[in-house]
Amino acid sequence: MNDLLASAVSAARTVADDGADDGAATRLRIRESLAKRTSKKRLWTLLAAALGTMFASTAFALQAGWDPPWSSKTEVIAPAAPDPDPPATPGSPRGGRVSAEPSAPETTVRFETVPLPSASGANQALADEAPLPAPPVAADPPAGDPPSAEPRMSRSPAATESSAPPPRTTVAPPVQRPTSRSEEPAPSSAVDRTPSSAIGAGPSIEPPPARAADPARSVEPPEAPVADAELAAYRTAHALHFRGTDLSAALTAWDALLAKFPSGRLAPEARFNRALLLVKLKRWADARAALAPFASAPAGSYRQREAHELLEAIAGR
Amino acid sequence: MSGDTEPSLLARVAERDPAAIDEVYRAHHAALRAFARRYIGEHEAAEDLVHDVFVALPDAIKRFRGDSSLRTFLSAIAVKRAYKHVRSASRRRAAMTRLADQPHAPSPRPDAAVAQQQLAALLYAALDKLSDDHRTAFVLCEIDQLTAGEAAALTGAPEATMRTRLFHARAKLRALLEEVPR
Repeated sequence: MNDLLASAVSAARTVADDGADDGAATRLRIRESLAKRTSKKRLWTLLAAALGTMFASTAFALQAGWDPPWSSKTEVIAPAAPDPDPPATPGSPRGGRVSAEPSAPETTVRFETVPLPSASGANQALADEAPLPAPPVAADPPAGDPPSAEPRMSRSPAATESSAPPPRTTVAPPVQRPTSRSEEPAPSSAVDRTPSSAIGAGPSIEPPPARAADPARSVEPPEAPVADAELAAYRTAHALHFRGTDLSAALTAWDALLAKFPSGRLAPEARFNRALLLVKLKRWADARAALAPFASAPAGSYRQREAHELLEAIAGR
Repeated sequence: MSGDTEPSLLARVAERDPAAIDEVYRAHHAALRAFARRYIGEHEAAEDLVHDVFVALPDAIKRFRGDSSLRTFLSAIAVKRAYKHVRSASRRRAAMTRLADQPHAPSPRPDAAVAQQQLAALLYAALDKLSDDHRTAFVLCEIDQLTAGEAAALTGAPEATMRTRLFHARAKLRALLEEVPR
Protein backbone atom coordinates (compact mmCIF):
# COMPACT_ATOMS: atom_id res chain seq x y z
CA MET A 1 0.00 0.00 0.00
CA ASN A 2 2.81 2.33 0.80
CA ASP A 3 4.35 1.47 -2.54
CA LEU A 4 1.15 2.32 -4.33
CA LEU A 5 0.91 5.71 -2.64
CA ALA A 6 4.56 6.44 -3.33
CA SER A 7 4.15 5.36 -6.93
CA ALA A 8 1.12 7.55 -7.31
CA VAL A 9 2.97 10.48 -5.83
CA SER A 10 5.85 9.92 -8.19
CA ALA A 11 3.50 9.63 -11.13
CA ALA A 12 1.73 12.81 -10.14
CA ARG A 13 5.06 14.56 -9.97
CA THR A 14 6.01 13.31 -13.41
CA VAL A 15 2.70 14.16 -14.99
CA ALA A 16 2.80 17.61 -13.51
CA ASP A 17 6.16 18.26 -15.08
CA ASP A 18 4.97 17.12 -18.50
CA GLY A 19 3.93 19.53 -21.20
CA ALA A 20 6.07 22.41 -20.04
CA ASP A 21 5.96 25.41 -22.32
CA ASP A 22 7.13 28.97 -22.20
CA GLY A 23 3.89 30.19 -20.73
CA ALA A 24 3.45 32.81 -23.42
CA ALA A 25 -0.28 32.27 -23.67
CA THR A 26 -0.77 32.68 -19.95
CA ARG A 27 1.43 35.75 -19.94
CA LEU A 28 -0.74 37.35 -22.59
CA ARG A 29 -3.83 36.51 -20.59
CA ILE A 30 -2.31 38.09 -17.52
CA ARG A 31 -1.51 41.27 -19.42
CA GLU A 32 -5.01 41.47 -20.81
CA SER A 33 -6.58 40.86 -17.42
CA LEU A 34 -4.43 43.49 -15.76
CA ALA A 35 -5.32 46.02 -18.44
CA LYS A 36 -9.02 45.26 -18.03
CA ARG A 37 -8.75 45.51 -14.28
CA THR A 38 -7.06 48.88 -14.57
CA SER A 39 -9.80 50.14 -16.86
CA LYS A 40 -12.44 48.87 -14.50
CA LYS A 41 -10.72 50.54 -11.59
CA ARG A 42 -10.66 53.85 -13.44
CA LEU A 43 -14.29 53.47 -14.39
CA TRP A 44 -15.30 52.77 -10.82
CA THR A 45 -13.22 55.68 -9.64
CA LEU A 46 -14.95 58.02 -12.05
CA LEU A 47 -18.33 56.61 -11.15
CA ALA A 48 -17.64 56.96 -7.45
CA ALA A 49 -16.48 60.53 -7.99
CA ALA A 50 -19.62 61.37 -9.93
CA LEU A 51 -21.88 59.79 -7.35
CA GLY A 52 -20.01 61.49 -4.56
CA THR A 53 -20.34 64.84 -6.25
CA MET A 54 -24.04 64.31 -6.80
CA PHE A 55 -24.56 63.24 -3.20
CA ALA A 56 -22.58 66.13 -1.82
CA SER A 57 -24.31 68.69 -4.00
CA THR A 58 -27.71 67.29 -3.12
CA ALA A 59 -26.89 67.36 0.57
CA PHE A 60 -25.66 70.92 0.24
CA ALA A 61 -28.74 71.94 -1.69
CA LEU A 62 -31.04 70.39 0.86
CA GLN A 63 -29.10 72.00 3.65
CA ALA A 64 -29.32 75.33 1.90
CA GLY A 65 -33.02 74.95 1.35
CA TRP A 66 -32.90 74.30 -2.34
CA ASP A 67 -34.87 71.58 -3.97
CA PRO A 68 -32.96 69.32 -6.30
CA PRO A 69 -34.27 69.57 -9.84
CA TRP A 70 -35.66 66.06 -9.74
CA SER A 71 -37.66 66.59 -6.58
CA SER A 72 -41.37 66.96 -6.95
CA LYS A 73 -43.25 70.01 -5.98
CA THR A 74 -44.07 69.72 -2.32
CA GLU A 75 -46.53 71.65 -0.31
CA VAL A 76 -46.79 72.14 3.38
CA ILE A 77 -49.81 73.06 5.36
CA ALA A 78 -49.56 76.09 7.53
CA PRO A 79 -52.24 77.79 9.55
CA ALA A 80 -53.42 81.07 8.21
CA ALA A 81 -52.15 84.06 10.05
CA PRO A 82 -54.19 87.15 10.71
CA ASP A 83 -53.79 89.29 7.72
CA PRO A 84 -55.32 92.60 6.89
CA ASP A 85 -54.38 92.35 3.26
CA PRO A 86 -56.89 93.25 0.64
CA PRO A 87 -58.44 90.78 -1.74
CA ALA A 88 -56.76 89.80 -4.90
CA THR A 89 -59.31 90.73 -7.43
CA PRO A 90 -62.65 92.46 -7.28
CA GLY A 91 -64.57 89.45 -8.48
CA SER A 92 -62.88 86.95 -6.27
CA PRO A 93 -61.90 88.89 -3.25
CA ARG A 94 -60.40 86.14 -1.17
CA GLY A 95 -57.53 84.02 -2.23
CA GLY A 96 -56.12 81.16 -0.31
CA ARG A 97 -54.01 83.38 1.84
CA VAL A 98 -55.91 86.63 1.91
CA SER A 99 -57.42 86.35 5.31
CA ALA A 100 -58.90 89.75 6.12
CA GLU A 101 -61.21 90.44 3.32
CA PRO A 102 -64.54 91.97 4.18
CA SER A 103 -66.60 90.35 1.48
CA ALA A 104 -65.70 86.82 2.40
CA PRO A 105 -66.38 86.16 6.04
CA GLU A 106 -65.29 82.92 7.50
CA THR A 107 -66.50 80.98 10.46
CA THR A 108 -63.71 78.46 10.82
CA VAL A 109 -60.00 78.60 11.18
CA ARG A 110 -58.59 78.26 7.74
CA PHE A 111 -55.51 76.39 6.78
CA GLU A 112 -53.68 77.06 3.67
CA THR A 113 -51.12 75.29 1.66
CA VAL A 114 -48.05 77.08 0.61
CA PRO A 115 -45.38 75.79 -1.72
CA LEU A 116 -41.97 75.12 -0.45
CA PRO A 117 -39.46 77.64 -1.60
CA SER A 118 -37.68 76.27 -4.52
CA ALA A 119 -34.79 77.31 -6.68
CA SER A 120 -36.29 75.37 -9.48
CA GLY A 121 -37.82 77.61 -12.00
CA ALA A 122 -40.14 74.88 -13.12
CA ASN A 123 -41.50 74.40 -9.64
CA GLN A 124 -41.94 78.09 -9.15
CA ALA A 125 -43.68 78.37 -12.45
CA LEU A 126 -46.04 75.60 -11.41
CA ALA A 127 -46.77 77.42 -8.21
CA ASP A 128 -47.30 80.65 -10.03
CA GLU A 129 -49.66 79.23 -12.56
CA ALA A 130 -51.81 77.41 -10.06
CA PRO A 131 -55.36 78.69 -9.94
CA LEU A 132 -56.59 80.38 -6.84
CA PRO A 133 -59.13 78.70 -4.65
CA ALA A 134 -62.24 80.68 -4.11
CA PRO A 135 -63.58 81.51 -0.67
CA PRO A 136 -66.27 79.39 0.87
CA VAL A 137 -68.64 82.32 0.96
CA ALA A 138 -68.45 84.99 -1.66
CA ALA A 139 -71.33 87.24 -0.79
CA ASP A 140 -70.67 90.85 0.00
CA PRO A 141 -71.49 91.96 3.52
CA PRO A 142 -74.14 94.54 4.16
CA ALA A 143 -72.87 98.03 3.66
CA GLY A 144 -71.71 99.71 6.79
CA ASP A 145 -72.05 96.61 8.84
CA PRO A 146 -68.88 94.75 9.72
CA PRO A 147 -68.96 91.32 8.28
CA SER A 148 -69.10 88.26 10.44
CA ALA A 149 -65.81 87.54 12.03
CA GLU A 150 -63.70 84.52 11.78
CA PRO A 151 -61.93 83.13 14.80
CA ARG A 152 -58.39 84.21 14.37
CA MET A 153 -55.27 84.45 16.37
CA SER A 154 -55.86 87.15 18.88
CA ARG A 155 -53.62 90.07 18.38
CA SER A 156 -52.11 91.48 21.49
CA PRO A 157 -52.86 95.14 21.90
CA ALA A 158 -49.34 95.98 22.76
CA ALA A 159 -48.07 94.25 19.74
CA THR A 160 -50.66 95.87 17.63
CA GLU A 161 -49.77 99.22 18.99
CA SER A 162 -46.12 98.79 18.52
CA SER A 163 -46.37 97.46 15.03
CA ALA A 164 -49.56 98.13 13.29
CA PRO A 165 -48.68 96.17 10.14
CA PRO A 166 -49.70 92.63 10.82
CA PRO A 167 -47.17 89.90 10.32
CA ARG A 168 -47.29 88.30 6.96
CA THR A 169 -46.54 84.72 7.83
CA THR A 170 -48.43 82.68 5.38
CA VAL A 171 -45.38 80.70 4.41
CA ALA A 172 -44.42 78.16 7.01
CA PRO A 173 -41.46 79.48 8.98
CA PRO A 174 -39.32 76.32 8.88
CA VAL A 175 -39.31 76.33 5.13
CA GLN A 176 -39.44 80.04 4.60
CA ARG A 177 -36.46 81.62 3.02
CA PRO A 178 -35.73 85.20 3.84
CA THR A 179 -36.79 86.65 0.58
CA SER A 180 -38.55 89.87 0.06
CA ARG A 181 -41.47 88.01 -1.45
CA SER A 182 -42.25 86.03 1.65
CA GLU A 183 -42.33 89.01 3.98
CA GLU A 184 -43.90 91.47 1.67
CA PRO A 185 -47.38 92.45 2.82
CA ALA A 186 -48.63 93.83 -0.46
CA PRO A 187 -51.98 92.42 -1.44
CA SER A 188 -51.01 91.72 -5.00
CA SER A 189 -48.02 89.65 -4.12
CA ALA A 190 -49.95 87.83 -1.46
CA VAL A 191 -52.48 86.78 -3.98
CA ASP A 192 -49.84 85.86 -6.47
CA ARG A 193 -48.30 83.43 -4.12
CA THR A 194 -51.53 81.71 -3.37
CA PRO A 195 -51.05 78.00 -3.93
CA SER A 196 -53.07 75.80 -6.09
CA SER A 197 -54.95 74.11 -3.32
CA ALA A 198 -56.14 75.24 0.04
CA ILE A 199 -57.72 73.18 2.73
CA GLY A 200 -61.03 74.62 3.62
CA ALA A 201 -61.16 76.78 0.58
CA GLY A 202 -64.28 77.08 -1.47
CA PRO A 203 -64.98 75.24 -4.63
CA SER A 204 -64.79 78.11 -7.07
CA ILE A 205 -61.42 78.75 -8.59
CA GLU A 206 -60.14 81.87 -10.11
CA PRO A 207 -56.89 82.21 -11.99
CA PRO A 208 -54.33 84.47 -10.41
CA PRO A 209 -53.47 87.82 -11.90
CA ALA A 210 -50.48 88.12 -14.12
CA ARG A 211 -47.26 88.37 -12.20
CA ALA A 212 -43.69 89.10 -12.89
CA ALA A 213 -41.21 86.27 -12.99
CA ASP A 214 -38.71 88.25 -10.97
CA PRO A 215 -39.41 87.78 -7.28
CA ALA A 216 -38.02 91.20 -6.49
CA ARG A 217 -40.75 92.81 -8.53
CA SER A 218 -43.42 91.52 -6.22
CA VAL A 219 -42.41 94.01 -3.54
CA GLU A 220 -43.11 96.84 -5.88
CA PRO A 221 -46.61 98.31 -6.20
CA PRO A 222 -48.75 96.39 -8.61
CA GLU A 223 -47.87 97.20 -12.14
CA ALA A 224 -50.83 95.60 -13.78
CA PRO A 225 -53.67 97.95 -14.54
CA VAL A 226 -56.21 97.82 -11.81
CA ALA A 227 -59.73 97.90 -13.04
CA ASP A 228 -61.27 98.32 -9.70
CA ALA A 229 -60.83 101.83 -8.40
CA GLU A 230 -61.74 100.77 -4.91
CA LEU A 231 -59.13 98.07 -4.96
CA ALA A 232 -56.56 100.49 -6.31
CA ALA A 233 -57.33 102.93 -3.57
CA TYR A 234 -57.15 100.17 -1.00
CA ARG A 235 -53.78 99.08 -2.28
CA THR A 236 -52.47 102.59 -2.18
CA ALA A 237 -53.64 103.11 1.37
CA HIS A 238 -52.36 99.72 2.41
CA ALA A 239 -48.95 100.39 0.94
CA LEU A 240 -48.71 103.73 2.66
CA HIS A 241 -49.85 102.22 5.91
CA PHE A 242 -47.78 99.07 6.10
CA ARG A 243 -44.78 99.92 4.00
CA GLY A 244 -44.55 103.63 4.01
CA THR A 245 -43.18 106.00 6.58
CA ASP A 246 -45.71 108.79 6.33
CA LEU A 247 -48.53 107.57 8.53
CA SER A 248 -50.51 110.74 8.17
CA ALA A 249 -50.55 110.22 4.42
CA ALA A 250 -51.78 106.71 5.03
CA LEU A 251 -54.56 108.03 7.20
CA THR A 252 -55.50 110.46 4.50
CA ALA A 253 -55.57 107.61 2.02
CA TRP A 254 -57.83 105.51 4.24
CA ASP A 255 -60.13 108.48 4.74
CA ALA A 256 -60.22 109.13 1.03
CA LEU A 257 -61.09 105.54 0.33
CA LEU A 258 -63.88 105.49 2.88
CA ALA A 259 -65.20 108.78 1.62
CA LYS A 260 -65.27 107.58 -1.94
CA PHE A 261 -66.51 104.06 -1.23
CA PRO A 262 -68.35 104.21 2.06
CA SER A 263 -70.28 101.04 1.25
CA GLY A 264 -67.65 99.33 -0.79
CA ARG A 265 -66.55 95.77 -0.44
CA LEU A 266 -63.37 96.82 1.22
CA ALA A 267 -64.87 99.41 3.50
CA PRO A 268 -65.01 97.25 6.66
CA GLU A 269 -61.39 96.22 6.35
CA ALA A 270 -60.42 99.78 5.49
CA ARG A 271 -62.20 100.99 8.61
CA PHE A 272 -60.42 98.48 10.75
CA ASN A 273 -57.05 99.34 9.23
CA ARG A 274 -57.79 102.98 9.79
CA ALA A 275 -58.53 102.22 13.41
CA LEU A 276 -55.24 100.40 13.70
CA LEU A 277 -53.50 103.38 12.20
CA LEU A 278 -55.14 105.70 14.68
CA VAL A 279 -53.85 103.52 17.48
CA LYS A 280 -50.44 103.70 15.97
CA LEU A 281 -50.70 107.46 15.75
CA LYS A 282 -51.75 107.46 19.43
CA ARG A 283 -54.92 109.30 18.62
CA TRP A 284 -56.68 107.42 21.35
CA ALA A 285 -60.06 109.07 21.17
CA ASP A 286 -60.34 108.68 17.43
CA ALA A 287 -59.10 105.13 17.73
CA ARG A 288 -61.70 104.27 20.33
CA ALA A 289 -64.39 105.79 18.15
CA ALA A 290 -63.18 103.81 15.15
CA LEU A 291 -62.95 100.54 17.04
CA ALA A 292 -66.25 100.87 18.84
CA PRO A 293 -68.46 99.64 15.95
CA PHE A 294 -66.35 96.53 15.64
CA ALA A 295 -66.22 95.85 19.37
CA SER A 296 -69.92 96.38 19.84
CA ALA A 297 -70.83 93.90 17.17
CA PRO A 298 -72.06 90.47 18.24
CA ALA A 299 -69.43 88.15 19.61
CA GLY A 300 -67.64 86.37 16.85
CA SER A 301 -68.30 89.07 14.35
CA TYR A 302 -65.69 90.41 12.05
CA ARG A 303 -62.75 91.84 14.00
CA GLN A 304 -64.92 91.96 17.10
CA ARG A 305 -62.45 90.30 19.38
CA GLU A 306 -59.46 92.25 18.09
CA ALA A 307 -61.31 95.49 18.41
CA HIS A 308 -62.41 94.60 21.92
CA GLU A 309 -58.90 93.76 22.97
CA LEU A 310 -57.56 96.91 21.43
CA LEU A 311 -60.13 98.99 23.26
CA GLU A 312 -59.16 97.34 26.51
CA ALA A 313 -55.51 97.98 25.79
CA ILE A 314 -55.95 101.66 25.11
CA ALA A 315 -58.47 102.26 27.83
CA GLY A 316 -57.47 105.14 30.06
CA ARG A 317 -55.16 106.74 27.58
CA MET B 1 14.73 35.64 -8.23
CA SER B 2 14.78 35.16 -4.50
CA GLY B 3 14.45 37.10 -1.33
CA ASP B 4 16.85 39.70 -2.60
CA THR B 5 14.42 40.86 -5.26
CA GLU B 6 15.00 44.47 -6.02
CA PRO B 7 12.65 46.72 -4.12
CA SER B 8 12.30 48.87 -7.21
CA LEU B 9 11.02 45.88 -9.14
CA LEU B 10 8.47 45.15 -6.44
CA ALA B 11 7.43 48.77 -6.43
CA ARG B 12 6.94 48.69 -10.17
CA VAL B 13 4.91 45.51 -9.81
CA ALA B 14 2.74 47.26 -7.25
CA GLU B 15 2.21 50.03 -9.78
CA ARG B 16 1.08 47.45 -12.34
CA ASP B 17 4.03 48.07 -14.60
CA PRO B 18 3.63 45.43 -17.34
CA ALA B 19 7.38 45.14 -17.85
CA ALA B 20 7.96 44.44 -14.17
CA ILE B 21 5.19 41.87 -14.05
CA ASP B 22 6.64 40.22 -17.13
CA GLU B 23 10.00 40.06 -15.46
CA VAL B 24 8.59 38.35 -12.39
CA TYR B 25 6.55 36.04 -14.59
CA ARG B 26 9.54 34.93 -16.61
CA ALA B 27 11.48 34.21 -13.46
CA HIS B 28 8.79 32.30 -11.57
CA HIS B 29 6.09 31.08 -13.88
CA ALA B 30 7.63 27.65 -14.53
CA ALA B 31 8.00 26.77 -10.87
CA LEU B 32 4.61 28.21 -10.05
CA ARG B 33 2.94 26.34 -12.86
CA ALA B 34 4.56 23.09 -11.77
CA PHE B 35 3.39 23.69 -8.27
CA ALA B 36 -0.11 24.44 -9.51
CA ARG B 37 -0.17 21.32 -11.61
CA ARG B 38 0.92 19.20 -8.70
CA TYR B 39 -1.58 20.82 -6.47
CA ILE B 40 -4.56 20.65 -8.80
CA GLY B 41 -3.61 17.74 -11.04
CA GLU B 42 -4.94 19.40 -14.17
CA HIS B 43 -2.92 21.44 -16.60
CA GLU B 44 -5.61 23.81 -17.75
CA ALA B 45 -6.73 24.58 -14.24
CA ALA B 46 -3.10 25.07 -13.26
CA GLU B 47 -2.70 27.67 -16.00
CA ASP B 48 -5.80 29.41 -14.72
CA LEU B 49 -4.34 29.43 -11.24
CA VAL B 50 -1.06 30.90 -12.48
CA HIS B 51 -3.03 33.56 -14.29
CA ASP B 52 -4.98 34.40 -11.14
CA VAL B 53 -1.83 34.61 -9.08
CA PHE B 54 -0.14 37.11 -11.39
CA VAL B 55 -3.28 39.16 -11.83
CA ALA B 56 -3.54 39.41 -8.05
CA LEU B 57 0.16 40.05 -7.61
CA PRO B 58 0.16 43.89 -7.91
CA ASP B 59 -2.25 44.16 -5.01
CA ALA B 60 -0.78 41.31 -3.00
CA ILE B 61 2.82 42.48 -3.37
CA LYS B 62 2.09 45.34 -0.96
CA ARG B 63 2.01 42.72 1.81
CA PHE B 64 5.35 41.25 0.81
CA ARG B 65 7.94 42.12 3.44
CA GLY B 66 10.90 40.19 2.09
CA ASP B 67 11.06 37.67 4.94
CA SER B 68 10.63 34.87 2.43
CA SER B 69 11.48 34.38 -1.21
CA LEU B 70 9.23 35.82 -3.84
CA ARG B 71 8.68 32.30 -5.14
CA THR B 72 7.38 31.21 -1.75
CA PHE B 73 5.21 34.29 -1.66
CA LEU B 74 3.76 33.42 -5.08
CA SER B 75 3.15 29.85 -3.94
CA ALA B 76 1.32 31.11 -0.89
CA ILE B 77 -0.92 33.20 -3.11
CA ALA B 78 -1.48 30.13 -5.25
CA VAL B 79 -2.46 28.01 -2.24
CA LYS B 80 -4.95 30.62 -1.11
CA ARG B 81 -6.48 30.85 -4.55
CA ALA B 82 -6.27 27.18 -5.48
CA TYR B 83 -9.38 26.00 -3.72
CA LYS B 84 -11.85 27.06 -6.35
CA HIS B 85 -9.67 25.60 -9.10
CA VAL B 86 -9.33 22.37 -7.17
CA ARG B 87 -13.07 22.11 -6.82
CA SER B 88 -13.59 22.83 -10.50
CA ALA B 89 -11.00 20.26 -11.49
CA SER B 90 -12.48 17.77 -9.08
CA ARG B 91 -15.92 18.19 -10.63
CA ARG B 92 -14.47 17.75 -14.09
CA ARG B 93 -12.62 14.59 -13.08
CA ALA B 94 -15.75 13.17 -11.53
CA ALA B 95 -17.70 13.92 -14.68
CA MET B 96 -15.03 12.35 -16.86
CA THR B 97 -15.03 9.25 -14.67
CA ARG B 98 -18.78 8.95 -14.93
CA LEU B 99 -18.58 9.20 -18.68
CA ALA B 100 -15.82 6.56 -18.72
CA ASP B 101 -13.72 8.93 -20.68
CA GLN B 102 -10.03 9.59 -20.43
CA PRO B 103 -9.35 11.28 -17.12
CA HIS B 104 -6.76 13.53 -18.73
CA ALA B 105 -6.21 15.12 -22.03
CA PRO B 106 -3.92 13.20 -24.35
CA SER B 107 -0.34 13.63 -23.27
CA PRO B 108 2.31 14.80 -25.70
CA ARG B 109 4.22 11.65 -24.75
CA PRO B 110 1.55 8.95 -24.75
CA ASP B 111 4.00 6.09 -25.10
CA ALA B 112 5.57 6.70 -21.69
CA ALA B 113 2.86 8.42 -19.81
CA VAL B 114 -0.15 6.15 -19.82
CA ALA B 115 0.71 4.26 -16.66
CA GLN B 116 1.86 7.42 -14.95
CA GLN B 117 -1.31 9.19 -15.95
CA GLN B 118 -3.42 6.38 -14.58
CA LEU B 119 -1.61 6.42 -11.28
CA ALA B 120 -1.75 10.18 -11.09
CA ALA B 121 -5.43 10.09 -11.92
CA LEU B 122 -6.00 7.65 -9.09
CA LEU B 123 -4.11 9.86 -6.69
CA TYR B 124 -5.94 13.05 -7.66
CA ALA B 125 -9.28 11.29 -7.52
CA ALA B 126 -8.41 10.35 -3.97
CA LEU B 127 -7.10 13.81 -3.19
CA ASP B 128 -10.42 15.27 -4.31
CA LYS B 129 -12.02 13.43 -1.42
CA LEU B 130 -9.81 15.05 1.16
CA SER B 131 -10.44 18.33 2.87
CA ASP B 132 -8.64 21.39 1.58
CA ASP B 133 -6.27 21.46 4.53
CA HIS B 134 -5.36 17.80 4.23
CA ARG B 135 -4.93 18.08 0.49
CA THR B 136 -2.69 21.12 0.88
CA ALA B 137 -0.55 19.40 3.48
CA PHE B 138 -0.12 16.29 1.37
CA VAL B 139 0.59 18.10 -1.89
CA LEU B 140 3.10 20.45 -0.33
CA CYS B 141 4.93 17.88 1.76
CA GLU B 142 4.69 14.77 -0.40
CA ILE B 143 4.31 15.83 -4.03
CA ASP B 144 6.09 19.15 -3.82
CA GLN B 145 8.52 17.76 -1.26
CA LEU B 146 8.55 20.73 1.05
CA THR B 147 9.37 20.26 4.70
CA ALA B 148 6.64 20.61 7.25
CA GLY B 149 8.15 23.90 8.31
CA GLU B 150 8.19 25.26 4.77
CA ALA B 151 4.65 24.13 4.17
CA ALA B 152 3.60 25.69 7.44
CA ALA B 153 5.25 28.94 6.47
CA LEU B 154 3.57 28.83 3.10
CA THR B 155 0.09 28.30 4.45
CA GLY B 156 0.42 30.22 7.67
CA ALA B 157 -0.47 27.20 9.76
CA PRO B 158 1.62 25.97 12.69
CA GLU B 159 4.20 23.34 11.82
CA ALA B 160 2.74 20.80 14.22
CA THR B 161 -0.64 21.30 12.67
CA MET B 162 0.87 20.73 9.28
CA ARG B 163 2.41 17.47 10.47
CA THR B 164 -0.90 16.35 11.90
CA ARG B 165 -2.71 17.18 8.70
CA LEU B 166 -0.11 15.31 6.70
CA PHE B 167 -0.49 12.26 8.90
CA HIS B 168 -4.25 12.18 8.50
CA ALA B 169 -4.00 12.86 4.77
CA ARG B 170 -1.67 9.92 4.27
CA ALA B 171 -3.94 7.63 6.22
CA LYS B 172 -7.00 8.63 4.26
CA LEU B 173 -5.23 8.36 0.94
CA ARG B 174 -4.01 4.89 1.77
CA ALA B 175 -7.52 3.85 2.60
CA LEU B 176 -8.90 5.39 -0.54
CA LEU B 177 -6.30 3.83 -2.80
CA GLU B 178 -6.88 0.49 -1.20
CA GLU B 179 -10.52 0.67 -2.19
CA VAL B 180 -9.72 1.22 -5.83
CA PRO B 181 -10.08 -1.97 -7.86
CA ARG B 182 -6.97 -2.66 -9.80
